[in-house]
Amino acid sequence: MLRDRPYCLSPPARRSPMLVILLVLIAAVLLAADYAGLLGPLRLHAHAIISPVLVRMQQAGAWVESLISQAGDDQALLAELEALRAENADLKARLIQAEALEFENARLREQVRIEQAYPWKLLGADVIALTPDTGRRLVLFAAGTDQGVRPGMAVIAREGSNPPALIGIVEEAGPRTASVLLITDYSSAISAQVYRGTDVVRGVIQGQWQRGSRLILHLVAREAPLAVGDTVLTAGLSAELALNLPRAAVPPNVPIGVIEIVQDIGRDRIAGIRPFVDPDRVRYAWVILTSDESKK
Amino acid sequence: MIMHDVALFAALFVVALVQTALLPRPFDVPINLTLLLAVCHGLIAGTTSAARWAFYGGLALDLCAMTFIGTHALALLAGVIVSTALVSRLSRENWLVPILGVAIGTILYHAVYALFLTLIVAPVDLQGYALAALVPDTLIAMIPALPLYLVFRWNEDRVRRRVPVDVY
Repeated sequence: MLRDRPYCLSPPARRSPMLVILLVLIAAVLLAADYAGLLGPLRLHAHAIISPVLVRMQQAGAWVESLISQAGDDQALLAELEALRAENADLKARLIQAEALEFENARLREQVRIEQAYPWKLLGADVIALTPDTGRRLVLFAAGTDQGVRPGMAVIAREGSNPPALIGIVEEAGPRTASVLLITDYSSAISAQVYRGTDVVRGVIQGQWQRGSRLILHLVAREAPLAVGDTVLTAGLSAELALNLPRAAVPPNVPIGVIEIVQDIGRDRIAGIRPFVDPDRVRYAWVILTSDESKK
Repeated sequence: MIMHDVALFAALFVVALVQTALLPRPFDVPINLTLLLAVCHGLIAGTTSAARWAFYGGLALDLCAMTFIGTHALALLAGVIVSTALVSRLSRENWLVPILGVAIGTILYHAVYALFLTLIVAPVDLQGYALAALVPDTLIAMIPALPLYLVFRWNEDRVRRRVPVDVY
């Protein structure tokens, strides 16, 4: 039968105290002998054997130490990498800020250029939303009555090398936003004019997006001298007449587009117009707050 | 018995080599591995066995350190014998036993070693020696004392469970 034997250490001091004394005596004798020079040759031989081993081991130790220090260096490099990543993120954020500022600066410069070229006081803002349905052409403008926006004000934008042009009229204005009825909408009707030398041809611009074309100039006399390539501007009739109507805020001579086609239908002459700015693509626009025609 | 002693000396000689060439020196203080092993072994196996470890380990250290043969051996014997004899009176379950044993052993080891240095080599500035060698060595040696002691105890428990005997 096998069983674990209870294991108990016997008190060692009682077991063989003589051995301890013997070992101390041997060590003392060895020390005395070596001090007397008796063990010198033996010790030298031993050193001759041990020294190469010690050198090898020290080399191995140095190698291990270098590995450990390299690991420490790696830690330092990792820490530096983390710091650089953080700095990189900070720089990217600053770059984005700088780009945003540059973008805003470009818009403001554009606004100043327009204000220098035209007698308008402008308010720029983002177009933050388009109507979700395809039946209407309305956009939400990121400025409202708090910024001085009122219904009937003209909204302009610029695209490419074209002049700043009308894209719509403020239909409703809230405190911070305003809905803008685009000139391409079917319900949009704005008085317009075309300068032909000393003649002025006046009519009404109506949105035609729902009919496949963009704008149409109608209510023009059949004999009116319209030609392809003529520039169509706002007439600002309500403004000139100082009527208390929303449309009175639309100043005259705001570019709209160019005539692409002229047709005679019945007693009327109709012109198809390509707007200078595609209102559907506009993401930043200006509201004409005031127009000082005397500055012109 | 002789083969056992030869194997023990060989093992302790390797320990001395490791202590001399391989062990790191935290804060430029060497770790006295031989003393640590001898004291922890003495706390488990008793003073006589620890004295053998101290003797062989001391001789190995003397050979590696190129000191007079017997210097380290006597210093280790003094430290290990006194510390294990004193501390083994305490309960082995007390975790302070190895720390206390190693602390006493290191102090005595350095005291005897400094004495031999004074007698054999040159007078030692005791205050300087205490500040530069004794105190840092003692503090450093106390750190691994408990883990090493627990390893020895674990090994002892392992060995005790593996002693099958026939009981009729």
